[in-house]
Amino acid sequence: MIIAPEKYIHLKLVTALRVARIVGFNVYPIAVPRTGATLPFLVYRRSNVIRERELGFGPLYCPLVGVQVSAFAMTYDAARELADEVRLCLDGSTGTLANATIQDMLLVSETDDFVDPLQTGSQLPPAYEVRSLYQCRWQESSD
Amino acid sequence: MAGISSQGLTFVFGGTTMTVTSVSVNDSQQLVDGSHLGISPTGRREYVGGFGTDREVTVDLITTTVLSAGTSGALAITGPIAFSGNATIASTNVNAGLGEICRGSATFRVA
Repeated sequence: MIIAPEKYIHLKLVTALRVARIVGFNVYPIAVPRTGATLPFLVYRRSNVIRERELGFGPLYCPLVGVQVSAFAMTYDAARELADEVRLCLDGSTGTLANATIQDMLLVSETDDFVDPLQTGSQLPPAYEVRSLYQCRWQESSD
Repeated sequence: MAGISSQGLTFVFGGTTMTVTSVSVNDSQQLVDGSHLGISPTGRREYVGGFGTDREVTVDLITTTVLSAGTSGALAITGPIAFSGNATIASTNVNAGLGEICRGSATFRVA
């Protein structure tokens, strides 16, 4: 199994009671499956990775990874509530889960949106979305 | 001359290899104003060099260690820039910032 900060985030979210109470295991990487997904749910994806180096031996093995977590729900309030529970779960979270060690995690931005299936061609009903960008520094494998 | 990457440069001070992200070697010399008294108002001054060169080495570090200013030791740079000598830490600092790796910098004065 790949060791990655997204795995940490996934496990953290599905084991957080206040998040799981709302979405259960509906936490997906990148995209929602065509079947079986019902609102509300969470979708996460990496948005950028910054790897720093030193002159002598190259990589420092503690990249800064931006992970976008999108909370989708039928109403705006429900999407906001879900995103807020995610914030309480992830913002400032550190430690090791799924073999990934997170040194630092910060919520750096939030954006609201509306997904109109008439425009996007989605098979899902219209949904409100709150996108939260988390910036996390983690200890990457050096082997 | 083709460009040469900085990658592979190592920095050792007092027997400790430091994790550096930039190295700057700065040489300077005191110059004496040798202009004669009859120099015109728009004339160029003449300077005389040839004295000892003062060398300073400034590095940016990845570190959590607070170095001690005044500490002396052997300094060695190897790689695309190579140079060694005895040096003393003239100034140093360590910084911790939100969401950032702990970093520092130090200036060494070479004997």
